[in-house]
Amino acid sequence: MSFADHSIADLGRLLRRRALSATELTRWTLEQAEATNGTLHAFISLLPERAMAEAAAADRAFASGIDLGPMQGIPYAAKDLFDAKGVATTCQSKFGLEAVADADAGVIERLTTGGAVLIGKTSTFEYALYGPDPDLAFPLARNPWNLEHYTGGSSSGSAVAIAAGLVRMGLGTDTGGSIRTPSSWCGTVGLKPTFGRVTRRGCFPLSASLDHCGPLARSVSDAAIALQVLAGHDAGDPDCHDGPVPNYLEGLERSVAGTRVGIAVPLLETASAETLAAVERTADLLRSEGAEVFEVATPDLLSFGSVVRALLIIEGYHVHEQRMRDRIEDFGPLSARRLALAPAYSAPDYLAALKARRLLAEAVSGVLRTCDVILCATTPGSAPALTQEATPFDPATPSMTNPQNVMGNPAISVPVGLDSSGLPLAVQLVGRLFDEATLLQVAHAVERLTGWQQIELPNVQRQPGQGVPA
Amino acid sequence: MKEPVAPSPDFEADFDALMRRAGLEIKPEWRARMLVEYAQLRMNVAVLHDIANRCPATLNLHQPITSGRIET
Repeated sequence: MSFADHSIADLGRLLRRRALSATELTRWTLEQAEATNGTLHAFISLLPERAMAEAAAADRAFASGIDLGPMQGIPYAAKDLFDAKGVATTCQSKFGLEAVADADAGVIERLTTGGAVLIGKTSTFEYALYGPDPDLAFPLARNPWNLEHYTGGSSSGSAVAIAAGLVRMGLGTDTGGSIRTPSSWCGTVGLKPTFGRVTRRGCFPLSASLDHCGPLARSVSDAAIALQVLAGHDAGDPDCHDGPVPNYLEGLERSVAGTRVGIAVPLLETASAETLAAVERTADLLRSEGAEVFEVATPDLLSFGSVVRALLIIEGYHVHEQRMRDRIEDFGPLSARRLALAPAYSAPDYLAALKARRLLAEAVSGVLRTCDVILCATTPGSAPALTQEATPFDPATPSMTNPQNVMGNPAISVPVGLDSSGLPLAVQLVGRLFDEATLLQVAHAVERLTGWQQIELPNVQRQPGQGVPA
Repeated sequence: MKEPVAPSPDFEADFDALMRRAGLEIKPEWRARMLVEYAQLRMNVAVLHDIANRCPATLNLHQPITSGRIET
């Protein structure tokens, strides 16, 4: 047993009764991250000075009886798209090496206020664009379940750090599936909240209309705790929602009896036999708890994928246009050649994409008037081998995670078991706008019913740590 | 599923004109793959216009995607 085998809630209890100190926990986390990074490349940079100072501050607050919330004293990692004061936000790019942040990103600020401990910045795809691209300034993160298979991206390093048992929570961004895809392939929980639920201030943009920030976590309850701290209005992000934040923890254990779950058959078009079986098994388990499960009809994957491709490329090119003209050779080839296609879109194409987006989102809202959550898959199958070329925009293989960025609804990837080759399989749940509470409740039931938490993480030579409480 | 359009001389000329107009210098080794992805992009664009043209009414495209939708 290691420290990371305890949930965030358990660690919080141990910290509060002083059976464990934040300093001890942080030191162990840094040591494990250092020891495994040569193999896994989860981290672009570790921040031992900042982490130990934040841990000491959390311990002082505990000693004074000050409770800053459920993340106090808990180590976490942040995708290297988020600014951390005094550290370069590299975005896994040669350009980013010079970009030292003068303030923390909004999400890091919220976690710091809540007493959490930032231990390092994690690997991504270049500017969260496309990958894996081996020709970058930093090495590719590797999947702890099998080093020769994709991690998925672009929040790769955060997923890897959790799957390797180094941290319980990592921050990610999701423009077309970048929280949920690596979560699916690395066996972590990945939550893309509703568009606007979590601030994007201080996060390097990819596509302003599609970008979301959220947590990857070891368990659904860890993700719920993280969202509780991350959610809320921020005047520094014009798209951030100014509304109440519910308590995500109080209903988590509630039964799903009577909950209406719609299986989105059109969104399963590209699922493998093993993934389809995992979705069907999940549906059966939810039925066994009293949920009402039935099929629903949504628009197809290609429609959603066509919208994401247009908005992501056009808006992404807008961010990088000058760099593309002046220093295209300093981009990785995957990013460069895909961004370079942006000029192929016309203004009427962009408006058609916006119109199609609204129509597709309205269609999903119609479906969500008949059910409480939608059940589908996160990825067609488990993590592919690194030898397979990724073709994210091939119309023959549209993404299963793009639809939720188009509609802006909250979505969560939940691991449900291992496939025949021993790699994680996941399902995806989609909730109503700003109803993460119901989404997390159903996800928690799926996690419990499938027994995912009883499956051991891959062995990456973590050390147990002295005096780990049982 | 239709296959991407096979590159024709006109198709390649269109592509070259776009890159020239955008002021982008494309490495020769990227070109073949980019032409395939350009063909796929044109299919995606056709999908977008097909969906958009099915809607007879004017839509408010300025509101955030989370606004104005009823789910309960």
